[in-house]
Amino acid sequence: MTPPVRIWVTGLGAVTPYGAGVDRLWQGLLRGESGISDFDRFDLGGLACTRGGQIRGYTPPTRPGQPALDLATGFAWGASLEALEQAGGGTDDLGLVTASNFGALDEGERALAGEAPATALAACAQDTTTRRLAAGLALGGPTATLSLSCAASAAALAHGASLLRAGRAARLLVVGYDALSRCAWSGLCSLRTMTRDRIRPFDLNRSGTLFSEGACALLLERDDVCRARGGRPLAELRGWATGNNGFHMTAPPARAAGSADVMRRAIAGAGLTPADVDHVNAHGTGTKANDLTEAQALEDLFGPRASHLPVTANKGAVGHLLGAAGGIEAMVSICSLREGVIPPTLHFETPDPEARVDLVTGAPRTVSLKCVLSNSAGFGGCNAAVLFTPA
Amino acid sequence: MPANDIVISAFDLLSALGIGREESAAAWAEGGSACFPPTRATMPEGAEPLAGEVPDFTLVDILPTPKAYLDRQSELLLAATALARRAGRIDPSPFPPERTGLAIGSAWGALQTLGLFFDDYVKKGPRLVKPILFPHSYANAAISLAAMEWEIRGPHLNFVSGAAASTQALIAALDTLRNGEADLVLAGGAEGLSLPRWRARLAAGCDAPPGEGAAVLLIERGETARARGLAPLAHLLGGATASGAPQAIRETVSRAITAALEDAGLRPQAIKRCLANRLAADALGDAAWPVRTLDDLLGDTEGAGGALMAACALLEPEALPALILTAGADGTASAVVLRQAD
Repeated sequence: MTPPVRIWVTGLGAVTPYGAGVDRLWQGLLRGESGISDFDRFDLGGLACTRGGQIRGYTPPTRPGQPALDLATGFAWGASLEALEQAGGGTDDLGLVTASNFGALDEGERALAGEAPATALAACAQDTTTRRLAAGLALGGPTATLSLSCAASAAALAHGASLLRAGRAARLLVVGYDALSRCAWSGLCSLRTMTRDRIRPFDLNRSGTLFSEGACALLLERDDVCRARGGRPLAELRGWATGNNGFHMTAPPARAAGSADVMRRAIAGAGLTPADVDHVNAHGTGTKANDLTEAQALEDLFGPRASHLPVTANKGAVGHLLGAAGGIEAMVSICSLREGVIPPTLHFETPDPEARVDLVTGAPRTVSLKCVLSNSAGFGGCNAAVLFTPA
Repeated sequence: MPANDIVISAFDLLSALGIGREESAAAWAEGGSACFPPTRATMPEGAEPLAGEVPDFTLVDILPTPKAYLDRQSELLLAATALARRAGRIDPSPFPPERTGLAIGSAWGALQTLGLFFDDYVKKGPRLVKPILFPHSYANAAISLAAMEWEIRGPHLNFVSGAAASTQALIAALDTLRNGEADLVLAGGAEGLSLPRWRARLAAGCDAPPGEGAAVLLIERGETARARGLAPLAHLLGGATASGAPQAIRETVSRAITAALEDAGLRPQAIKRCLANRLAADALGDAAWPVRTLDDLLGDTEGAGGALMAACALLEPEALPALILTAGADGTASAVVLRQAD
């Protein structure tokens, strides 16, 4: 039987509330900096939730003659260029899978509100960013656009890996992104998911999440293609899975059964067992329901090991990057794997006796890692998990 | 398992042709346009009063559980899924929830609800938006509701890749089965007709009559279908996506076809007919096969088009093997190949 094609990650790019660049993200997380600030891009109209991970002063490095980009696509563009630069290679055979919650809605919204020409309404199409990236980067490979709420970019990594393994592409850029728009902010606030406190993943006194904007880009390629062009792998995307908990539009089921299932399938698909996993980058939103049920899912999956398996939740520092969240956390997982360091979860003060995880807090933890699992979930019951091993 | 033993064991559809296979088959055979002045959807000013609307139906006649609110796209997808499940005798399902997948496509998702939500924002302010609308405005609302309705917990992919969306969903279902990641995938697409979508289409320079509809196909291994006493309707043999500059769409369509036929293990001469959306049909030029364009019948069903065309091809199995072809203004073309069942 032919062994499955190996999938390498060869390039990373990020635009986050810390600024542009994966290094800024990684260093910000290691230093325990918060990316959250008072939001001021548009009038919040008296909403109680006023803080988030707003990106300020960022100008996407567009090329001469390139049309101006909407906010969300600008983030995606910057992250994509960084990943491409690191990976090297051309774009003739490069495919693209993008994923978000809201697409280029920031542009479409202005038209809906009568603040922009009616032609801008076309940006309500979910594949707007895909079109703009593919045209700007002159991509020659296949493209696809996914929307799976906050599991979107992790699911896009899973889909990208499946396309590569099936031989449907040689190299793929997987881009997750979202911008904070008026619809997003007011809608998320109306559902009472946002806290007026800080985000405190897995803390007894956690009271909700805070949303951020930005983009991640991960360049995936088949082993044979990477070798042939002399590319340098950063990590292996060894396992992946998507699913749905089939439970509720905005609430997780008991013990996050859907998360446990996709994590289990991602591990099995990698030909590994839960005993092989030595770190989990959790979804960890800081909401009561998510963190409790996610901790229970980890217990169900890892058994007694769960209590001493290092877990971190990046959202405590950088906020919840919506459609980009899963990809950002995958990227941080890869950095942890390569550096042997797990960044701390910010704002953790009081352990929750019901959410028993070995949370990395206070300072980065140095530990030799061979296998890292990243878990993501989203509205509508969407779940996705990806698993990385060293290059 | 033979490499090509991935089959379509059942399907159903709703479109301007009618509700369900029987109505659709009769209208399909008749062949006249099902586009008329819209009676349900509100038209934008300046639009030609012509659209392919799904005839009135009552969801509670199809779906046992009432719903407090549904976007039009969700309503159509739930209806098509319920009908396809009945046709495929999986109501209740013999397949484990974790081994059952969903792969769905749509160009616009729940834009109707997003428009309603944002109307409130503009008119009343951000504090007075309706919380119930927000989760239903997500582009994955429809697929999520289907997963919840029937506890479908396996591989889960929601494509919003413009006109290629549901064709890509069919290809994803094929790969999921080939990789052994699921025993059954419900694959298809849904597009609802709404004022925001119609306005956005006009803004994009698209003045062809819009259409709405949904189709869901049950894709599984032939052996599992036969074990359940179902005679497979067709083989889903292969598929492919190609992308390029929008002005190079002819060449891109050609690449997608070549790759899809190669994936299917068929020569071009084996294809009896091609079903294509308007842009793909135009890009084909003088094709080697008879080409039928659904847009003339149903209106432009955009992201649902690939699944609707696959369903229409199954209404006329004597015209298989068929090539289903969709192309979008973004320069992406996706194709799948269906062959008659053994």
